[in-house]
Amino acid sequence: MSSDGNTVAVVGTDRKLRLIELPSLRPLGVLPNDFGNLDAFAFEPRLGLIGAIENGHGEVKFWTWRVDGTVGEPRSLGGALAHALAFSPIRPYLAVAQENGEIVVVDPALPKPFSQPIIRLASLGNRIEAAAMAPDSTVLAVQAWYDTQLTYDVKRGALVKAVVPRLSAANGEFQDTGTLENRPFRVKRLEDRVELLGADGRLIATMVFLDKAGAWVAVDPSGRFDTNMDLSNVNGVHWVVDGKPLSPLPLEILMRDYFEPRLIPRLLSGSTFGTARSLNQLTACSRPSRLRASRQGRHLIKSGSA
Amino acid sequence: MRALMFNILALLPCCSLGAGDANVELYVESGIRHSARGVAYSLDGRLIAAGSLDRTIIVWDTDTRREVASLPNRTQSTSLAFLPGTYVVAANGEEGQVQFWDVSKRAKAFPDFQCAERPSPSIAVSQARSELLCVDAARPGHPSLGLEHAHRAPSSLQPSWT
Repeated sequence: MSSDGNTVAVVGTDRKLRLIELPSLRPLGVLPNDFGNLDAFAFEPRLGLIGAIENGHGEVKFWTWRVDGTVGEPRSLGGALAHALAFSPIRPYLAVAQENGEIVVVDPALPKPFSQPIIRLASLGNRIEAAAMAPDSTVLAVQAWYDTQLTYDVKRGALVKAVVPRLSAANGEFQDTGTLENRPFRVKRLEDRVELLGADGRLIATMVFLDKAGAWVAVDPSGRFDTNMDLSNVNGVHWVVDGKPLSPLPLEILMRDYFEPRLIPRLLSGSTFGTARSLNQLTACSRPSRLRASRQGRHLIKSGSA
Repeated sequence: MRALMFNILALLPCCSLGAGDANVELYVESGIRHSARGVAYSLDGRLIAAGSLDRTIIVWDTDTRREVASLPNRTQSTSLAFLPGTYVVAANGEEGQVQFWDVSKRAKAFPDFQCAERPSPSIAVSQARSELLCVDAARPGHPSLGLEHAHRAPSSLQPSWT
C-alpha cells in the first residue's frame, strides 16, 4: 500500500508488479520489469520509489520510477541481510529491518546508502538463554542468544572478565542460587532480564544485560537503580510517567534521588536505604515540566505554564 | 520482551504530572533482541515499529531516535501497518491473525482479527478507504476489515470480501 493509501501494489508469482487504484479498485497497469522472487517489497508512487528484497538473498534492491511511467534498472543498495522494508511517508528514505536486529533508515539516492545511514536503530542486547551463579557465589553468569556471555561480580557490582563454561542443564556446577554475607538469593532468568529473588521469593532487583554494548542496568522495586553506562550521557534509559511512552523523561530528571552505586551488592548483603523522595515531593515545588525533543535527538526541558 | 520496562514506583501520588496516581517506570532501550522481521512507519513519519523473531514489537520515535515502547505481541510479525491518523499499529501473526496495538497506551486497541487461514498474511492499510487489506494466499480474494467499524464496534468485526 502506498503511504497515502491511494494505490496498492501486488507482486505475483509471475514476478510482475501490478498497481491498483483505491478506492475504485481500478487496475492501473503492470510494470514490465522482472522483479524476481521477492521476500518483501515496498513502494512509494508519489516519490517514484520501489524497494525489494530478493528471495533467499536478503539483498535490498531499489528502482526508480521514471516520469514516462517506466521503471529503471535495479540498483543494489548493499547492507546486511534484510527481511523487510518500508518507505517513509514524508521523506524519500527507506527503513530496512535486518537479521542482526537493527533497523537502518537509508537514503537510497546516496551512492553507498548503508555506509551513511540516516538513522540506525541499534540492537543492543540478545535474548537471555541462561543465567546462573558460580559455585562460590561471586559471579553471575548470563548467557545470551548465540552464546555470548557476560559475567557480573555480585560483590563488586561490576562486569568482570571470567571464563565460565557454557551454561546448560547438563552443567550442574552453576546454580540458580547464591549467598552473599550469609544471605541466600535466587536467580530467575526471563527472556529479557534476570530477577534476583530473596529466600522468601520476594523480588530484590531486576537486571537487564545489553551484551552487544557491554552494559547492564539494575533496579530495585522502590526505583533505585544502578548501571555501568556513562551517566553523563545516558541515551539508552529513560523514565515513563503515567504509562505515556511517547513522552519520555530523560534519566537525569530523577537520577539524583534514585541512582545508587553498587546497588546489587548492597541489596544482596541486606543494606538498608533511606526513603527516596516521592514523585509528589519532586514536583510539588516546581512548575510542571514538559519534554520537548529536538530533531537532533537532544531533549530540552521547558517549564510549563499550567 | 525486548526492551524492558520495570515498574519501579507504582501508585505514587502525583500532583502535577497528571490526575490520579503517577506510575513511573524505568525503560531500558535495548532494541530488538533477535532478528528484525517486519517494519512500518506511522503515517506522519514520526514512529517506526518493527516486528521481531522473538515475538515482540519495538517502537522508536524517529524525531528523538529513542526507543519508546516494547509491545508483547507474542507472535512474530512480518507485516505491520499503522492505522490512519493514529498510533495504532496492526501486526500480522503466525496463526493468520492481526493484532492491533495502541502504542500510546502500550495496550491492545481492538480484539484480534482472524484474516487468513495461513500464517503471517501480508497486510496493508488503506487511508483512503479506512480499511485493512489482508492477503490470504489460501483464498482467491482478499478479506478486508473496515477500520471505521473497528473503531466503533470492536467486538463485532466481520471481514468483507473484495
